[in-house]
Amino acid sequence: MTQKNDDNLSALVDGELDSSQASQLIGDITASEELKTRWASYHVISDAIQGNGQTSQTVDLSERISAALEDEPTILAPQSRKRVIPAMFKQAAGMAVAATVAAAAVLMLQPTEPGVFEQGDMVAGLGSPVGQLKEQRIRVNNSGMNWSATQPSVATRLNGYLVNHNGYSTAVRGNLPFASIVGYDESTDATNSDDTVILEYNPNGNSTRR
Amino acid sequence: MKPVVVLALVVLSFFQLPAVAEQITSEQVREWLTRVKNAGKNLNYEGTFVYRHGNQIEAIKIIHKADEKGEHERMISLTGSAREIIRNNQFVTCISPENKSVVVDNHSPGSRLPSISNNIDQIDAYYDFVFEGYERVASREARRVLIKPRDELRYGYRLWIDDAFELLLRSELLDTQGNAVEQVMFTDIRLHETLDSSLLEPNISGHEYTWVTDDENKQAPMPRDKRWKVANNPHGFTVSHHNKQKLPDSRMPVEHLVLSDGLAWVSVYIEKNVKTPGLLQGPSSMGAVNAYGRVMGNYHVTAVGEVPSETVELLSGVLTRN
Repeated sequence: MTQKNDDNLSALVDGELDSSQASQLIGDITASEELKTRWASYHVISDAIQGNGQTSQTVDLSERISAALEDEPTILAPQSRKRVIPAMFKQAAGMAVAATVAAAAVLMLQPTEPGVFEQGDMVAGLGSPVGQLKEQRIRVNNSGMNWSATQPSVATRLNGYLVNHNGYSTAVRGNLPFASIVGYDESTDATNSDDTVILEYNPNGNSTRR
Repeated sequence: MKPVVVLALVVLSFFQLPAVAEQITSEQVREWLTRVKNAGKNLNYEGTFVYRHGNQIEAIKIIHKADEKGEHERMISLTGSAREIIRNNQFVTCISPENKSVVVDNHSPGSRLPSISNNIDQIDAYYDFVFEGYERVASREARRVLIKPRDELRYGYRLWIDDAFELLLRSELLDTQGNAVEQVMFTDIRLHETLDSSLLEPNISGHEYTWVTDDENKQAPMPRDKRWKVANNPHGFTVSHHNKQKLPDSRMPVEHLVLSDGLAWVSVYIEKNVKTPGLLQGPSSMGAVNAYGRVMGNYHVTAVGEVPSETVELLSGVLTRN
């Protein structure tokens, strides 16, 4: 049972479960104290990635996670005193790193005055000026999802439609405003456009840190 | 290499729904959904939710504060690439430490949302509402509601609404077979009388970041082409929005119509130049989202939405231009 569950968790992370299996498993996870352990691992993974900013440390990550788990108070099956990193955590770490590598968050800019930043508004809590540019948008992360049976240029256009459409379509999500943080696969053709300009913010310019 | 021994997992309990499941009226569901919206806006809470779409799972931490100045919200992605979004009312700041970029957007996507309550009669005609009992989500008691479509042209929903505070704790989008194709679920949530504002501040200083503002929505409104019509509310879908806008990826403005049955939303985009590269011909899908593109005379039409493929195909063909 527990072995099966763990296999299923791995499969879930790997995207190998079908909808109903995944749904069932997510329901099970909700009802389980094991979630705490699992959740701790998510934080460790997140911290490791954000702290390192490295993209080639799958093994190191796994070890760090493993070490972190050793330090956690155990919430495991009573008969099991072994504390070894489960397969899914390795998978999750690997996946997260892969996402880091693949993240295509290139700013695609079509400035009317290329490269020119003007003194702008203060951003809440950030204490830095905001450049004024027109008609740009961020290429969000690679979520691993992509449009079926489409050329990259078609996928790009569909993503544009979808991001726009999402502003209209979240009626029943109520207080779950996740759509804006979740990316679509934008890894294609951002560099194909003649208009692609990547601007670096110059901190010596208008920086007004508090 | 270290031996890998599988961590034993214990499922301590399964939840069985109570046998009692009563039929509730659409009116009651409307009330609940309206209150869900308000609860989401007016309460102070912090928690973590998972979002599953297709075969992907993401975990996101959320901190939400409401005070006399309005809504303040911070979301931090815990999985995948690091992202952080901070929202002060309509003012949205997206931070990507990996790419050293900050994007500022002076509008909230939700602000354009039509209210669900305006469409209740419409919803009644195409969906049944079933109260399925109480179930626990994120250690909290929740009302489980099924919103079940009466035909195969729309997806259903299953919602879990916090019994005490009426926050939405979990939501599933169900395909025509009843499988959850998209899920959002809080795994833990804590409600607070007040929240310290410092919790809503970003971790970064902003140095060495690329800064941009999103002027996409500041463009002057363009007059829509009123000759585009949708006749006879096909399958209960009526036009809820019609505007003309320039999308970031397009050089030419597109005509945009939003069709809705009150719960499902489908966008139809009309491009004037059929030779524009990257236009979809036929069907495509991504997770629960379906799209269908076709040429209509001198125009190209694409329908996109979280509805079955049959529906986008149908709705891509219902436009007429007089």
